[in-house]
Amino acid sequence: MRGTRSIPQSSKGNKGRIPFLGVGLFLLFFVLGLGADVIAPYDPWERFDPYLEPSAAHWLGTDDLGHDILSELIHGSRVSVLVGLGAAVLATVIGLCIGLFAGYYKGTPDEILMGITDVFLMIPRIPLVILLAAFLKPSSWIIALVIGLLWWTSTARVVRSKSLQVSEMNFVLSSKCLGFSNVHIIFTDVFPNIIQIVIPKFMLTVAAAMITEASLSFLGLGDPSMKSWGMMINFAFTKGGLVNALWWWFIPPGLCITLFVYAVVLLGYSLEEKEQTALGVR
Amino acid sequence: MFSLSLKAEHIAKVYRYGRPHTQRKHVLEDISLEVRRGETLGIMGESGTGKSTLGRVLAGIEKASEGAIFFGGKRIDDLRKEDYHRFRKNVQIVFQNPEGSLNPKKTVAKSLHQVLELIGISKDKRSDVLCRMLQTLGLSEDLLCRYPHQLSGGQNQKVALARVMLLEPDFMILDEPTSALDISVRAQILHLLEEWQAQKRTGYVWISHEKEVVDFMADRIAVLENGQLVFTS
Amino acid sequence: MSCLHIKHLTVAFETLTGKVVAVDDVSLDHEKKETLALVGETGCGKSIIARSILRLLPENALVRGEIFYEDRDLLKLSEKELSEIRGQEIAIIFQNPTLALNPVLKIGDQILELFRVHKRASPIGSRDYARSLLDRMGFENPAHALDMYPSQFSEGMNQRVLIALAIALHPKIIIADEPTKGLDERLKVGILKEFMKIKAERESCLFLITHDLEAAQTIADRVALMYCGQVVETGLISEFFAGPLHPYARALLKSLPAQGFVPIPGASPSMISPPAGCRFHPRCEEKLDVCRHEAPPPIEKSGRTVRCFLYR
Repeated sequence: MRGTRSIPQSSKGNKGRIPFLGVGLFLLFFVLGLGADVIAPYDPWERFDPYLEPSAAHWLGTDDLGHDILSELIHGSRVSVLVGLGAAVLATVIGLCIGLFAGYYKGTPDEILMGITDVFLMIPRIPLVILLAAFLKPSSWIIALVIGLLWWTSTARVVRSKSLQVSEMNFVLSSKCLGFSNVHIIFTDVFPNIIQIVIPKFMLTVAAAMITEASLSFLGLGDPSMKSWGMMINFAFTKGGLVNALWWWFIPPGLCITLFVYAVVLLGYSLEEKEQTALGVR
Repeated sequence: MFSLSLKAEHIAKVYRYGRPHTQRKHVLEDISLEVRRGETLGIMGESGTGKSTLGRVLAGIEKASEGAIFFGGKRIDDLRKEDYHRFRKNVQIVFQNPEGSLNPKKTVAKSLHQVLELIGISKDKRSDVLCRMLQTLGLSEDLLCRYPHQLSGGQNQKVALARVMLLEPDFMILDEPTSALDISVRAQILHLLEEWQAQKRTGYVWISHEKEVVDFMADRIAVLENGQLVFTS
Repeated sequence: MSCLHIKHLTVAFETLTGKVVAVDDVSLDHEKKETLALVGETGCGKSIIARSILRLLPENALVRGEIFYEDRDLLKLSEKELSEIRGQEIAIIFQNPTLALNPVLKIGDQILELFRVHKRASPIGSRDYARSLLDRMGFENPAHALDMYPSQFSEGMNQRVLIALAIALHPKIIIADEPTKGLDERLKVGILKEFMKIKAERESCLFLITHDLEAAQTIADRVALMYCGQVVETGLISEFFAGPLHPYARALLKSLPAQGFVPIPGASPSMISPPAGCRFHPRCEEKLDVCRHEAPPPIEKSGRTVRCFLYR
């Protein structure tokens, strides 16, 4: 009882800064990816003199085949953002559906769906992704598809847990009693109440997908026809960039990967906070 | 005149828990009761005696471990599609926690409009029907655009009642409808439920621990103790 | 001599939707040795008054007025001086017992913490005393209970722990904020009995905040009725129930079970934009023309006060 001073309101301190940074960075890469053709100084496939150092004409120099690195970098945004978002959307949709249905119907459907989830959890994902990438046509879309099909399990578990909880709430029971169909209830009653859990997971999946794609490309399993940041690092590595300390070749793509993942995580964090403040401050 | 009834026969409910599910908790034992249209059956008992479970079983949203519920003389488990729809529409439940009956992410308007759509009211007639229901409950129209957390306990409970009353069910199961409310709001809700029953001949199963309220509303009273029912009047 | 003198207390909050005056010019006298019940419905401002006394309001609260406790204005004391009064001289029992207790500390530890913080050594600061407190509160095995957590007890038992914490240091005033809210009939009766015991042992004066009129009738000596942030009537409890003066008081008593649950028309007004003039006038059956545009001041009538033009 003693020491209970006036209750301070939740600190307004950091709330202003974080969203702007995350949103800003994310939008930057998004815009770069969309407008790559217009923004990049050159066509990334155009050849100039190889191994040029940074200069006024080529801000980041050129690679082993004479492609302008800055243009490659900007075009790389497109690939990375697309693969990251595409894979994450697929994974989240799968995880969401499985989690929602398992948590709502419970009983046998839940057991079956969670059994499937357990099976997928046991699969060693990175080796499988590498194998598939190695045997299938190396295409960014296939990579996105494969990542999407494997990365849904943790979303499914989290969604199921929350769905179980929400399905027991009185307003869901009310809706059942009124006679709404199960599908209607799942999507209009349960789903809106679990979104705040899904968004951060989605963001993290985007980050994971991006890194996985970059890693695959770095290993040489990526799509050579689409210059992703991972491919750039791969080329830098295999074509003498690392050995000769041509930092302008491998550091920028690495930096971009880091920044994009950072942006995505910040965005997820700020969206989660907004949701909480909208409902929770009473 | 044939009076429709909602009946429970030898209802028992056992919860199994523990790992593995070998431990049992007998929440309800051998419950039999009947309500007719137009009358109020009061069910009294303290918290945790299984009153809410009985309410949910009667409403058909929870399955009993033993026994059966009869609607209009037929077992609800055996009902054919059309009969089941009739049962579903005509037996409704209103819960005790006002905040929990409404979806926190839907505005009052959305919650109510969805019910209007469900019961098939055509678009042009919807706002009329809605206005009339709001008037009956003493709610003002500017509540429509608000979310449940922006309403008081009493307003929330009235909106929850509105959702159910739009269906004009034959039976309403009311689980502690007024225990969390202010005195004046409680009086309002009792009054309007009384009038509604007089008009629509709805049968109420009034589950509550508030003795004076049950005495006021109920024609017959049963007491639930340790999962068993003891009739007093 | 008064325990507590609240003079022209006004509490307002700056919110996103506007300035909300939760407590409007409230003056109350709480005499020594008496139990005062502050009665009103949800949102009328009574809990805010309870918290203002011990200055437990959020930072965006704007407080004006004076609250005198034994010649000292609580609103002007420093945090240090106030923290010595809290718990020791003025104790508060909050609503929602399970939420008011620290879930990760054992019951015994929470009681002992109270002693430690107020630097009371034995005999009061001892485990034995804590055990005897729980025994008084009706715990079956008090020694065992000291080592248990709040989550292991029911609401009713936790409520008794809160009461034990409140009386432990023999404070002069105990503020009970909705102590019977949400409790079963049986528990309610039990808690009210505890309060009667405290009253009988004449140690502290009780300031009961509640919306439960029947609870107030059972244990209070005097009552103050609030509506929409203002005190609309005060008086002895027996006089109040026998012959309420304010139309709201009359309507409220009519909506009790004994009178047949007669409802009051209309709804509680919004605190952001309360009605002009008398705040109850839109729902009043006896309103005069003046009630629409003028707010009635508190009027004295044989020891009672009422805010109503009918008594001018």
